[in-house]
This record gives sequence, C-alpha cells and structure tokens, in this order.
Amino acid sequence: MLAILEDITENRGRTDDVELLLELGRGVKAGSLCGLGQTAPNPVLTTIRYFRDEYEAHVEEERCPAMMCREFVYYRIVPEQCVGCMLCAKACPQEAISGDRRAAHVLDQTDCIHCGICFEVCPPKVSAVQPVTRAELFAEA
Amino acid sequence: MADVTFTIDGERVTADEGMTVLEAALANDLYIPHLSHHPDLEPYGGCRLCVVDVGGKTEISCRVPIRDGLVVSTDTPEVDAARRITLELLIENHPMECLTCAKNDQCELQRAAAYIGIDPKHMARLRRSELTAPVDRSNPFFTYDPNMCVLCGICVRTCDELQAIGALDFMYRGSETKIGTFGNKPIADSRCVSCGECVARCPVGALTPSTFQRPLREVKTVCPYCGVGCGLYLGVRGNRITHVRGATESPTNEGSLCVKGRFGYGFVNHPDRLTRPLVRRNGSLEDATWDEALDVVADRFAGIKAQHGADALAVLSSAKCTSEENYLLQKFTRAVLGTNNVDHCARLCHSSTVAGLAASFGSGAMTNSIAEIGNADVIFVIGSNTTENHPVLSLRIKRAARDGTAKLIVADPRRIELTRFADLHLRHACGTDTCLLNGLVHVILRDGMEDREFIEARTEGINELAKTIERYTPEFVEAITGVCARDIERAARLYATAESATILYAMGITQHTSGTDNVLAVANLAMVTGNVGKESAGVNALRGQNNVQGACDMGCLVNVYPGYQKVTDTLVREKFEAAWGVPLSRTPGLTLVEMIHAATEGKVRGMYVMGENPLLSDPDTNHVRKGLESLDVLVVQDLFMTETAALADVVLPAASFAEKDGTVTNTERRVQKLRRAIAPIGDARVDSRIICDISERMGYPMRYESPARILDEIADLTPLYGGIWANRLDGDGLQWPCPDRSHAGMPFLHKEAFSEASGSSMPSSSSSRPSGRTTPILCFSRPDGCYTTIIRS
Repeated sequence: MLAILEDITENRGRTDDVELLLELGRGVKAGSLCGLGQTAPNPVLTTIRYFRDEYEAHVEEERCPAMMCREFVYYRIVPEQCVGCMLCAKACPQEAISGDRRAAHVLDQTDCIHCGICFEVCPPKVSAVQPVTRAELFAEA
Repeated sequence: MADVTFTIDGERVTADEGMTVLEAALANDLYIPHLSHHPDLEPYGGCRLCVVDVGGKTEISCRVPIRDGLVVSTDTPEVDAARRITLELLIENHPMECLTCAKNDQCELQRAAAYIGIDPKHMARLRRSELTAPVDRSNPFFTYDPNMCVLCGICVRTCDELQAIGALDFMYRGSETKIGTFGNKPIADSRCVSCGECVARCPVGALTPSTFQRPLREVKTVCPYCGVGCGLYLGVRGNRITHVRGATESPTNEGSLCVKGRFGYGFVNHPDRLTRPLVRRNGSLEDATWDEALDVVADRFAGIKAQHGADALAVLSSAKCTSEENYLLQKFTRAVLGTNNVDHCARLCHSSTVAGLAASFGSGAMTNSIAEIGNADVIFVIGSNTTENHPVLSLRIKRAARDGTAKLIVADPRRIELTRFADLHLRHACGTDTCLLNGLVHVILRDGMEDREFIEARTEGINELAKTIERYTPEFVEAITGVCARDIERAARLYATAESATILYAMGITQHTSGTDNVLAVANLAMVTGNVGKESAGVNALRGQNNVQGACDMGCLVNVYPGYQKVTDTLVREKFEAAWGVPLSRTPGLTLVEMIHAATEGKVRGMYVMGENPLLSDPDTNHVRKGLESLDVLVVQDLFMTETAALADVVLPAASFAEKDGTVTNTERRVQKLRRAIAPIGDARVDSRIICDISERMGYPMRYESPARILDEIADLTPLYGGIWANRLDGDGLQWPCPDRSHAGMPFLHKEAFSEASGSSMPSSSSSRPSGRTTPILCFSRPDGCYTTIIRS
C-alpha cells in the first residue's frame, strides 16, 4: 500500500490504483488477527472516503490540490516581481536559475527538481518565486 | 477426546475437540487454501489465505477453535475478496517459472492459486517487484531462494518449535521482510545443523534439497546411522536413491530426521563402492570371480582350522548389518569354524554397560523407550553429547527442557549444546564420573531422600553401598571433581525428589578404564531413588550404531549365544548343539582387543571381518595394523575399500542397508524391519548369502528362503526374541523381551522384578581417581569428531 501511495504522490499513479487501495485495505482488515492490523489501513480508507477527488486529481490530472506532493508542484519566477537579488540562483542545487544581478531571473524547467529551495529563499517582501500546478505553468507558456 | 459437530458450507462435520476450523476441515477432506499451517506446528495465522466466514464474520480458520454448532462458510464474496487480494499479492512477488521449480505440482501456492482462481489481466494492476535477491547456496545440502519465499514462517517455527535450534527468523519489516539467520550470515555460518526439517516442510520452492530428483517409488526402512533407528522412506528411481523422508508414523522419530539420515544416502550409489570380489595375488588385490574368492576363503579357513585348531580363527561381526546376518555369522563361527571367537565393536563402546547393568539389573539394555524420555520429570544426561550423536532423540530432551515439563541436569566437562537447555550443568573433571555419581548418592542417603520401599523390596546390598559412599561428602567430591558442593546437593535433590527421573548416558562414561564402575554408579543412583521399572524412569544407555543392540542380542559376543545365553551353561549349549547339529566350544572366545593381541602373537591366524574397520576405529592403530598384518589370512566383507580391507587377502563386496531385507534393533530394543529398496550394486552380494556360501563350501550348508526364516530360527532359540516374527513387524516393530507370539513387547523393563531371580544388587562402585590430581586431561571424543560419518563400521 505504501508503494502505491508513493507512486501516486510521485506521478506514477495508475487509473485503477484507488480501487486497488480500497481492495487492499479491506483485505488487510478482514485478514488481521489483532486490533493494530484491523485498523492499520484506516487512514488510507478514510482519506479515500472523504478526499477521493484529491487522489483522483493526482492520478488523472497530474496535480496535487494541496500543493504538497513535490512531483506535482512546479515553480516559476514572476519577472515583474523579481529584483535580481541572486539568492535563489545561488541556492539552487541544480543551478537551474540564471540571470544577472538586478535583472529578472529565469528558471529552466528541464533542470528543475521541484525541491522548492528557491521558493524558500525568495524574500517574502519580493515573493517572485511562486508554486504552481503543471497546468498553470503550461497555460502561462 | 470429545467430538465436536458443526457445519461447513451446510455440511455436518465432526472433529476432535481442540482442533481449529482449518484442521477440522482438512481432517474431513475439505480443502481451505493455506500456506502457513502445518500439522506439526502450533497454529500461527501468518498467511491469511485460510479466511472463512464464521457466523457472519470473516475469520482466520487456523486460529478459530471449533465448537458445537459453529456455522462456517468457505466461499462468501467477502471471503473470496479477502483471500484473493492476499494471494494476488503473494503471486505478484513470486517467480512464475513453475516448470523449472523443484516443488512443481507439490506447491501449496500453486494449489491455492488453482483453487481460488487467478485472472492474469486482473493481476496486471499490481506492481511486480524485482526478484533479484541473492540465492543462499552456502549449505551443501539445501538451497534457500528468498525470491520464492512466501514468508509463511513454517521454516522459522520448525527450527524453533520442533528442533529448538532457532537458526532462522524473520528479519527486516514490511515489503523488505525476509527469512534470515543471525547477523544475516549465510546459512552455513549460522547455528543451522542442516537437519533439513525446514526443507521438508517448506510449502513452496524456497527451501529445496541441493540435489533433488523426484523418486518413482518409496520404500519404508530404517535409518542406517545411529541407534535411534528412525523410520524413513527411501525414494528410489531405477537403482538409485534420490530422496529420503522421515516416516511420520514411526514411534521413534515421528517424522524427524537429522542431517545424516536425510541427506547422507550418497554412499549407497557412490562410485567408490566395491563391486566385485578381490583376491590378493602376488602382493596386490586383483579382481576375481565369486567362486574363486569364496573357494579361497573356505580353503584357507579350513587349512588354518586343521593345522592350528579352531581357536586360531576369529570373526568380527558388524553393528551395521542386520540381526539375521549377525546371527548367521556367529552361527558360522560357532558351528562351522568351531570357536567362540566372535565379537564386534560393542566391545569398545558399551561392553561396560552390558557388564554393569547385567550385574545391577540382570540385563544390559536401555530400560525405557525413546518416547518416554519426553515425559520424565527429571532428565539426567551424563557422558552423552546427545544433540550430536543421537540428534533425533535429543529433540525430546530439548523440547521437554525448553517447555519446562522436565528439569534437565547435564554432567559433562564440556559446554555441549544440551547445556543451553539445562537447569544444572555439572562440569566435572574428566574421569571423575564415579566420584560425582557417588556424591549424588551420598547426598540422597544423607538427607533421607531415598526410596526405602523400593530398596527393601527389590534391592540388596544397601548397607555395603552406604558404607562405601560414606566418604563421598559434597566437599570431598568437590575437591576431586571440581563441581561445587552446592551444585552436587542441588542435583541430588532435583533427581531424588522427581516423580520420574531418567538417566541417559553414552560413551562418555563407558569408554574409561573405570567404565563398568561408572555404569554401576549410574545404576545405584537410579536404584536408591526407585527410578527403575516404571514409565519414564530408568537407566538408558544410548547405543551407537543402528544395530549394535541387535548384534549383541544375536550373540556376536564371546561369551553368549543369541539372547545373552551363556556359552558356559551346559543346558544352553546342548540346546544350540541340538539345533545346529554340531558340537560347540564350551570356552568363551577372545574379545576384539584380545584377538588383535593374539594375532600379533601368532595365536590367531585367520580373521573374518564383516562390515568393520578396526584399523580406523580400534585403539592403537599401529598395534592393530601389526596384528592384522601378521595374520595368515584376513577376509574383509565391506562396502568400500576401507583401511582394513586394504590389508586383506580377500575382499568381498557386500550390500548396503538399502539393498537387503532383515531386521535391526535400535537402542530402545525395538526390532524394526529393514526393507530392500534397490538391487545390490554391481556384483556385490547380500551379506547373509556370502556367509551361507562360505559355510556351504566348508561342509555345513545353511539354506534359508528369506531373512524371515532366519528370524524364525532366532525366535525358536532365543527367549528374548521368542515372539518376534517377521509378519508382526510391519507396524511399529516390537520391543524385546517378547517371549511369545501373543506378547506385545515391553516398552520399559524391570516393571515387576529384575531379570535376575535374586533381585538387583548394589555393588559398591568405589573406585575413583585419586584426589588432588591436577593434571589436565583431554576429553575423549570419537575419532572423526562426532559420529559415524567417516567410520562406517
């Protein structure tokens, strides 16, 4: 179950995974001898019951509505807001951000690993780095 | 046991109280898919395949005890859904190469999959893991492939519950879980003793024998190794043994086998087997025909007898051959050669037992049955490394001690495996056994823990004994043995206050210059506490070879005819003279050791050695070599070119245990049938036929239709074996004494009275090593380290 959940959060989800999780969860409950086993699948089963649309968003639409799953969160630098402080460029482990001092920086999406460090270091007053979904990123492009 | 009636899928089912739903269903031939259930093991509930609906609730059937009126359904949609997903997950992580798997069509996973039904399209939604875990081939006898493993835990539980070894366990968590050894080392480097019990129980192809070919047919016989005499099935294809499995119905081993019994069958079809007779010509052994070889033997023996007298001939019999063959060989020696010079290896291992126990009880054999050991309250093991020499018997000791049903006292200078389970380990100095045992008796008498009633009624000599052991105070004994006085008192108290206490001993106390004294001291300890003649209480000598008891019983000893009837007793001798139709020698013959001495002095000139290798196993190899080389003629009948056979003038190729019918008697006096599984290899012949052929050439024809007819003759002449008749041995065998054909045999001896009419005596076993000796002494162990793996005799 953990492997399936990890796959879903890392954009390897398959269309029938939610059903499979339900099936597995019920199987574990039925086949368990102790209370721990009988309740172990509950977090998955109840989140599917109440947040099924979020599961499906991951699998079907490749987006994480809560913007928590790294694979589904993209970053962009809003050129109008960027002051060219170079903090993000220096922090980026992939060296995916380029741009001259005091000029708007550019993030190369092909190198980006969605780590979010640029978002963290961008001063709150500036807020030039913004997390977006894949759809939003490409709509813009 | 009360019957319980309930319903499974609407059918009324009756089963024994205490069973689980799964057991009850299987007992009624109703299949419920399962992987982690095994009838020999405690209910576990690891695989979750056996789910059923019990009164509307999904339950694991191997954990639900049956009760009257239970309503069980095995095929509801909920049940199917629960077990289907479990099974699919197992299959998803299991290789699909069934055709190349050793367990193909005997696999519980296949069976469950066939029953539940698997849709490959439906399986596609699961994520197949990469099955690339390294295979453990470190053990020479079996292979562990973790990729095949379904983590049912049967191997882990077998190793722990049944074998009390605990070499295997689960390691890591979740999807990483695997079966491993301590420190994740290869199996060969773990505690594993290679008994193969886990291999025999593995429901899938994870644990498989290294060399495996499925047999075409199976033959039930008896293990050829130690004195426990485990029942086993030899799996045969063509003229080859390819597999061995334990006989679950056998009362001695209940299906268990050790590494030797299970995997040690390679010698039968080994290319080094002797396949044709050899005769020494011009100094070297050359191939000969049977007629040539047998003529040489007969002529040379006849020549020596004519020239030097019958006592210049000597015969060594074999504790590895059947009782019938031993009977024939001693008959040949006594009736044809005309001497009592017939002996065998028991002279070196348990002759002190025969002497000691015969003096104490009138009969020198294990007093109880193997099965009774587990029910004793106290088990006292002295001079026996049971886990190595009698592994299957040791299981009963280990389980009883581990489960707390028995207290275990181990007296051994070494920290042997059994001491892990012992409540008390007495580490006495080598050679101080008598002193230690006398010390125990001293404490028992001093503290009034003796069984007065038993002593009055059934023994004599208590006063002499009390006088002798007076000086063996715990302090005195401590000074000599090195065991602290408090432990001696504790051991004495444990032993004496037990309802039933059994003593197990082996060559650790018999193979000493004071061996007989040691045995007497053991017998005294049992007698003062009344621990003889009742169930689970007695004095139990663990015999070495598979038929050393039988060879002794058959009179392959210098002073007795079959059944321990003395050669010096005129009435007995007349009986045998009448039966065999020839006059017999009235003087006891030369013992094995004396034969060799006599050979070096030229008094013994011809020797016949059947299935023994004195050059390797007897003391003082150079002396033995000198003796054997000074003989005029040495005839060796064996399976292999042993060290002794290499010195022989005639070598006769004999048949192994798998190639002949007959009976063997194990350490608990149980006469069991050996059955022919394959034809003798090459030109080899069954030992009994060889003996009869030589006898015929020497003018005394012995013709028997089958070994059963020999057994009839034995029964006629031997009161102990009076009721032992081939047709009665098909089940569990019979434990002698069995005087007539309606007698069921005796599980334990000396119930009402000791064999000697006068009752048992308590000879004072006073000798002990002088105190104050501080020189270290090396422990005795068998020449090959543990047990007959090199010594085949």
